Amino acid sequence: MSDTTPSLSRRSFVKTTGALGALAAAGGTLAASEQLFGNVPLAMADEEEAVPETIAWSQCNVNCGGNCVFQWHSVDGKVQYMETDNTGDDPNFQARACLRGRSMRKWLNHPDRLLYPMKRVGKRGEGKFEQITWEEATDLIAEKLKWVYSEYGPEAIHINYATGMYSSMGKPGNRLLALLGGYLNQGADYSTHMLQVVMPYMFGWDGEKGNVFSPYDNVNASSFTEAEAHSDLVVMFGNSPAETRMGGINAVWDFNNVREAVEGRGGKIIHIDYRLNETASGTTDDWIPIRTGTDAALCAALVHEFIQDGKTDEDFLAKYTVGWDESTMPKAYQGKNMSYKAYVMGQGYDMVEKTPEWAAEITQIPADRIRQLAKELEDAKAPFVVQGWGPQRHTNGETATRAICMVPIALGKFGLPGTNTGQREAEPPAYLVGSIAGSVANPCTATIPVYNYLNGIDHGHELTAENGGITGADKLPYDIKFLWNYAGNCLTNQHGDINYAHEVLSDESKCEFILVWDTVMTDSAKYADLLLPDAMRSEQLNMQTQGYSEYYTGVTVGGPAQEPPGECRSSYDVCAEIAQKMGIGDKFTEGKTHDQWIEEMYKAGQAAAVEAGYKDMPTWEGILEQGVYKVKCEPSIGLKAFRDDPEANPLGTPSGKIEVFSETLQNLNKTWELGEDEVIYPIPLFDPGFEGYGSTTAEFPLYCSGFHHKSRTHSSFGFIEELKDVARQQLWINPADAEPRGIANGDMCAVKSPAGEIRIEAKVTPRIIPGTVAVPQGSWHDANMDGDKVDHGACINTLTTYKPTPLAKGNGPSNSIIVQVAKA
Amino acid sequence: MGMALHELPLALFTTIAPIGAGAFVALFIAFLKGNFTAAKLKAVDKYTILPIFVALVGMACSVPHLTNANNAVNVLNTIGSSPLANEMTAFGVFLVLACLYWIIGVAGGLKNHGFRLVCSGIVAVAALVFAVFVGFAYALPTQPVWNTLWTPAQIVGIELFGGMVMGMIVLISANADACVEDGADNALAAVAIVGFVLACLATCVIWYLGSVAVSPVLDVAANAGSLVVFLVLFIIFGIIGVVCAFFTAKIGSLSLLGWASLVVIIVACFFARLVFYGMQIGIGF
Amino acid sequence: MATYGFFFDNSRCTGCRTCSMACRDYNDTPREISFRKVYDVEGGAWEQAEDGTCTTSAFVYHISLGCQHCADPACIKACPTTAMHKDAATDLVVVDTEKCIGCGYCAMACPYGVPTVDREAGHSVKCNGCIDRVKEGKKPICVEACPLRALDFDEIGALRAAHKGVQQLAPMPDAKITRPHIIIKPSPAAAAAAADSVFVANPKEVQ
Repeated sequence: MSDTTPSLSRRSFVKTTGALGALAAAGGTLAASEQLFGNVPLAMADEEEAVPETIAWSQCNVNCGGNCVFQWHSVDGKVQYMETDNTGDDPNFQARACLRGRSMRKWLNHPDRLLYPMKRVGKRGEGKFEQITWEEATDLIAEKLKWVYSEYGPEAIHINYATGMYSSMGKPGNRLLALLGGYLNQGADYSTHMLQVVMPYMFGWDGEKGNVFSPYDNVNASSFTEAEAHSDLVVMFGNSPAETRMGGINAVWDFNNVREAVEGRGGKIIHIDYRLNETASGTTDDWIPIRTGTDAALCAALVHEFIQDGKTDEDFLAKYTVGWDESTMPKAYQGKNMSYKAYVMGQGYDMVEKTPEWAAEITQIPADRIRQLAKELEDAKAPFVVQGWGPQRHTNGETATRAICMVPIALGKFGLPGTNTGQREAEPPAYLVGSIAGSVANPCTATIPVYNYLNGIDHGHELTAENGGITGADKLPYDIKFLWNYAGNCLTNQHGDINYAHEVLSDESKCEFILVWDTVMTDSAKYADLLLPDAMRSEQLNMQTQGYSEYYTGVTVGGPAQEPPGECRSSYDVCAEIAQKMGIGDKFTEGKTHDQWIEEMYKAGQAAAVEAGYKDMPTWEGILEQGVYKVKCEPSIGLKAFRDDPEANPLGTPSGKIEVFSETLQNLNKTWELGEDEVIYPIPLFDPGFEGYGSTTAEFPLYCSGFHHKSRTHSSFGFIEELKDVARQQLWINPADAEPRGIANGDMCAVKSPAGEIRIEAKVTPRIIPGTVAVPQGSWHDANMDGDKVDHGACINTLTTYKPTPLAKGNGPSNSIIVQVAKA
Repeated sequence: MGMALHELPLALFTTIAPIGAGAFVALFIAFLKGNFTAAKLKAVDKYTILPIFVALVGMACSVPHLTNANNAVNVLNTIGSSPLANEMTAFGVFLVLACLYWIIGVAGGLKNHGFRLVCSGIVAVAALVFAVFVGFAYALPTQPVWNTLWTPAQIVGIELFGGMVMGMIVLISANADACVEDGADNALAAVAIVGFVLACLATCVIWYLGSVAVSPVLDVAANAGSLVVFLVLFIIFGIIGVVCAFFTAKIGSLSLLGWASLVVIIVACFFARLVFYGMQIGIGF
Repeated sequence: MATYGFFFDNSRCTGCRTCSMACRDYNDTPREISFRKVYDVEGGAWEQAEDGTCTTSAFVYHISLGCQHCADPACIKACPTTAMHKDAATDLVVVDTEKCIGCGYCAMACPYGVPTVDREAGHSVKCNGCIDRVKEGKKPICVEACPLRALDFDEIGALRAAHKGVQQLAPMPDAKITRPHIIIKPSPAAAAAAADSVFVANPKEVQ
């Protein structure tokens, strides 16, 4: 009798990793391990039908942060299928890959893999290339590097923001360029651009004085495990780990535990979002729909209610904050009604009292619901207020992100068990191993905000600290002339206003050389002058410490599971070849191979970790055997030290306190060159923002926002057909907006913004607030750029306008768009 | 509409095979009511191969539906328990009986009128049983639109409608059409019309049931809407077929008209079957 | 002989499709065939007030379904060849490819849309509960894949002892028809939903 499984016989011989361990332990030296990790034959059950199957450890290395674990089952040097982390006694502590990781075999074996180096032959951006040899390719890079360093200087070469590869050996180019003289640095990132730049003004930036803000630690924010342990009310502002951090011990799992624990003890979860997001799946009354980009208005009204109800702890606020009310305003701004309380009570700024009725019109939330939410927050013993990174990715994100923090601050409910600071849930405190990118410091200090890179190409020499957010230098000496784009799609697809980016990038007189290094032909890759094929991490020995989207620490080492296809090579080896041609071969490699770098970094990390208390972190031989090492982290309470003793543990702000009113920010309005419509607000007031609330027109009557989609990590995996099959790229639109337009579920629609036009299938759904439509971000741009430029790939950045935010010069327009939708 | 086209081989089989089988019902009526010379009967028996051939063409059409026809012998395992196996068995039984009948006839074994009536009656009954079993094959409790008596009724209607014309073709081909008197002519035409009306009623009811069915995954209204074109084509071709059948019966001797009528009726009934297959609306997913 | 079944925690499921993708990878199914599908079930309405504010009763929940290896499987009843049968050792419903003629009646009969004919392979295919893994003492690949630990697989008696639950959620068919070996822990939204007030929101993704 046979069975439906096509390869039953193959499966019969699968054994666990015991044999692997034995062999790996025997081959302690690196040379041996290189051989061993090619294809280790495992035990075979049947001599007659000997199908040797090997298992190789690897992991997902994209920018969701999960770094989830793969166990590749290979036969004859070809991966057959994947098992994920099934190790340990606790099934709840397994780094199980999500649907994206599970599709990795399709990526590895995809017919669209880039297989050999290619040189541009058509116009830039046309996507026409011809095959060249690696010799020619590395010659060309060496030649262009010599040119850019001699003609200009390190500020003219930029390693632009790219997040397709999180691996210890992921960015050897950073080491190479640092050794050659340096490169223009990246400021902030597309994930937390507005938040990352503005929050330090509120929570501290001066390490000499006190606590420094970071969006990526467990000092400024509390862990989900803390909410799980002690909270009775969790309020999520635009935070949906079920669509972003989807792995088995990522935030989605942590949040599941929060929900079950909090609801289990009679507490409540509330999701404030313009969409009924997947994290709220299965719930009934926990969703408060809000108009996109109006969180700060809701927060002002909530604080208004706290004040009205006498629930703000004025003594506490006087002790811990600056600018809450007149009594703690900085001297220079006293008597001007510029405190947050003055704003809320209608005594300053716009002189409008921020009643629930005021906020209702802006947010579309009924005033009574706002009052009820205020009451729920007031009554909670341990409210855990937490924001995702969507609210800050708006043109008003610099105020919105701080406004959300005002909710727990006004109640005095942070730094205590079960509470949070209003920031995103904490990340683990320790990374266990280093990376080659961080192996040498960049001698060039000049830094450009990542979203400003296109202006850096167009008119970089005009960018200064005051007009372009340049840090580490007063100004840029040159335009960016050489772009080094490794494993990233931020030239166009993930940047903003693709049609404008196309204009700047396709002008060969501006940026004169673009290197793109990737595994498949992304939209950004089409702009390459030289396009290099990369080996996937599952095709080489790989190591990466656990990342930033879960609350545990760990490391995975293993591979390769199969050989790279065509002429794909390890990017380290290619960089070593370039270094050789630049005369710094030995300096670059330090005499070590790719795998020896990993071994050395692991051993260094392991020694430090054992020192730091991670006593059971395995030896190099041990990790080769077990593949993955994980350690749970203790729950953390954000700003607990400050809360416990603000004198002993001040914040790194000028006052040492939370600067609800930031004098530093206010003064930037005097010293910076801002556009006519640009203001840097000292307090987190509600500012509609560019293409925000009230900006819709007859031509563009709907608000539009992006969101992270389960089928992709940003644009990574965006070409995998199987993922597109099970999670389609669709425009979310409420029946109230769809019906008058004659749009039914599944209809193809034209979505047009001031910046461009896309085609996308409609998902007519009650899961989105009327008046706002949503486009999942990251889909692959697909337009005739010599023709109508209509994007049939439905990339949201065809719709976004390129307009850096006032302070951060960040990608606020990502979620602030106005559009019209029609049946196509 | 997509589901309907997906089942093309089945739609062809369940149209053509019953029509071939139905010819034996027509022949039984003709023998019952007609007045044949021995020579004419010999010719009729010879041309009785035609409907058998048509039924075999129907069967051939169904082969592409089976992904692996090599395993078809396993159907014998479930006779009695599986409605589909019953259908296939009923078809096999009919085919064997029809062939035996033809062989006996050609060998001159049907000279006794009473024996002829018994034999052709047995084959006619087998043909009707086959039609009913085709319908029962779709009597799945999880397919409520199909799981009614209208499903076998539609096939029986098709069998009678097309079968009468197929039978007339046998008679015309044997130059024996004049042997059936007005009464038999009228009977064949009347049974053809009854068949059409039955098929028409059944198809309309099935379309209606499908248009008001409940499905969590299928937009049943849109689906029914997309099948209206097949329903209308069935009715138009069916009416043309009825008219053709009437004239075939009345004028006789024109074998071309007979064959043309048959083609029109097959086309009509094929559309009726597409309506049926388009109404595969399970109670679940 | 043991009788196996699935447990599905609908209150945990976020509709992520990882089960489905893991299944596709492990079974190497062609693009158009999926042994495990995730149905997005939505419902609810909106009210807009004069002042532009809104209230809603919208909800969503997800149903992840492979084969439920029913006690009284419609596919086995419909099968004309006995190719569709229960494995003697596990009671899992599997296809004997040596017998199957690929007629598709199992697909027409199953109210859960589980079996389908793989024309390339030449026979019916379906979720077999990862029978080979089960016989090795492992869980099916989807169960080990689920990031939310919303799936489990075990002897049905053990599952019934461990979990309280139901056998169907709106708009799944009446469990009485085939008596599926499944236990479902409903989410609040699913528990409150009536069959005629919900719709499958992703029909193209579960074809």
